[in-house]
Amino acid sequence: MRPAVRRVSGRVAVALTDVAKHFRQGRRTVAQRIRRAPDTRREVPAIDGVDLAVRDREVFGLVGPNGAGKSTTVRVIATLLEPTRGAVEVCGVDAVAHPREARRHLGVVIGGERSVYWKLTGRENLEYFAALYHLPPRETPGRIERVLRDVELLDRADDYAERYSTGMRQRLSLARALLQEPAVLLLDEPTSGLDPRSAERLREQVRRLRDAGHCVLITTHDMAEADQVCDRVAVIDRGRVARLGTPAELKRLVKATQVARVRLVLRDRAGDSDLLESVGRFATVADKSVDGLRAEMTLHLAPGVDLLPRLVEAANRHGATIHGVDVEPVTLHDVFLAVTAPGTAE
Amino acid sequence: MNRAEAELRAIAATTRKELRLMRRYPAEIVALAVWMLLLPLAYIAQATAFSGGGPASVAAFERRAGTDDYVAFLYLGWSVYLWITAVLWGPGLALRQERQRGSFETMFASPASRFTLLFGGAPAQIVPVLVVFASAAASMRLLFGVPLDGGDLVRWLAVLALAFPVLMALGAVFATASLSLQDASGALQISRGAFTLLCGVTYPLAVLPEPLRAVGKALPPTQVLDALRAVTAGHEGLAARLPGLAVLLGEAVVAAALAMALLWLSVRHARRAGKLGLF
Repeated sequence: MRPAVRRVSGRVAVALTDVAKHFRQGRRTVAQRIRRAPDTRREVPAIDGVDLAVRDREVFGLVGPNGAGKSTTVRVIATLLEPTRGAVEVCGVDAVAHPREARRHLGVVIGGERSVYWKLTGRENLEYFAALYHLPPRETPGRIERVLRDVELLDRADDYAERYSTGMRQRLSLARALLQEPAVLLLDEPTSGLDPRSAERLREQVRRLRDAGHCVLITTHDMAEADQVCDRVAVIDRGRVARLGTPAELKRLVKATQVARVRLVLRDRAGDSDLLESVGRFATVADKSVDGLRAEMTLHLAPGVDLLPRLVEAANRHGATIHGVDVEPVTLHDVFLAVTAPGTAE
Repeated sequence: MNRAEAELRAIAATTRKELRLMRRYPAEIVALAVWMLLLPLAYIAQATAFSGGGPASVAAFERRAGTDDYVAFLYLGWSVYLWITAVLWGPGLALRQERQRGSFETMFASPASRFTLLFGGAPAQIVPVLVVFASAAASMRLLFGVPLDGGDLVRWLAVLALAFPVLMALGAVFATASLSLQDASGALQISRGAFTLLCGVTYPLAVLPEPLRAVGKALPPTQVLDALRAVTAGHEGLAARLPGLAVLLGEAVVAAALAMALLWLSVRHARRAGKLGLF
């Protein structure tokens, strides 16, 4: 990977302090404005008091349900969105007061594969963006060559982007973000829509970027990806950082060593709550779904719990038939479900 | 590399990108040339049919239009019409298309200035202009024997060069306004319709009612069209038109400033409302 990333003094590359972004919900017509009618629109917080400190040489994941505020957070850091309150610093630059200066430290991948010009070659796309990024002309060809090699597109550099696969276009977007050798890379769902092999390739590139000295902030819905690639993860829920830590630390938040996913068929609909009550005596029911008489439960198991005899006994007592049981270690997926469950609050 | 130099390079790169895209979507340029050839033919046929083709009707036309060369009159009218259409469909919708494509946020997240984002692609628009007027000149000369000579073409080029900034600036105003419009295509059609009605594309402004004539005369495209008609086939020298064309340059500065102000307001609103990447 690239040997020289522009280093910035201090360990924190991106710092958010009490950042909030509120949107107005509803419409205010021109006629209402002219007659100065009272503004009845509601202020809805997309993020509300987010504090984050993302360090150099770190892959930092933002995970959370749809609408939790991940993309809003990324857009605020990228200077594409002005926060309602709070401070945003990128490499020591106040990104709210000096967005243009902050952008010099940022590489942004937003909008995915659509954000490249399909009728230009990969190289031509990068030439164009290199000029927008004000790269020195003498350095531009070398940098383009280097980022194309970094994202493994050098051999297809002179093909039109329309002939690339989705994964290749996504990698071209990453190459574009790398052009100005930014200290901070913001990747908004970079593996969305990619097949497993392409996604893995991109994750590998993210790890290499971290090793080359970049700070990488990534949003994702894929908990396995966050677990695999992120040094630290923040779970954002309802506009706030609900939990933050390394994947291992977050997994310890689930009071269990193992998770069991149980599939069964109930005798009748009424037996549902009785069965849950019985199961709740030896395991925590983290999640359940019922479709007709078919039910699925996610159980958190404390150390030393002998699940199968107790589960069989409970099922027999309530006339349910067990169709399958998978027992796995706790994953970030379980943390996500536990932290973002309805009714869960800090 | 200082800031101005960096912005100039960004403008050059944007122009190069636009030229490449034009070359790779050649159908649009070819369509412009063919349209320029065909469109006036229908109106020339219509004019001939309505007038009966006699000298009395040509004289009546001359009294209103100041020229008896209705072929050149119509071809130049449609040339400016197609030029404006190309500006509205091209630079006029460019920002909106960037937003639809998903590249607007990426462009905006770069350190390039708003001026570059708005006007960077403008120099490439010389190509469609030249295609339109080359097609018009060829059609007039070869199909109707209009006595165009090298001097006419040089005068056209001078008028086009002086008129280019104002039409690009008006395109930029439309581009920034279209970011906030629900139906930009509808607005574009209305603009084209208004231009056709008020600027005298197919008829002299003298036939319009006085209030409409006054509005039409004040519009920059009308002044461009008047200048082109006046300097064609030796009707008038370029020097007589220079004061009016200089005014167009002044109007270009005003329109460009308006476009920049609109873009600034629009982006500020979008950054606050979270609509920068939305369509």
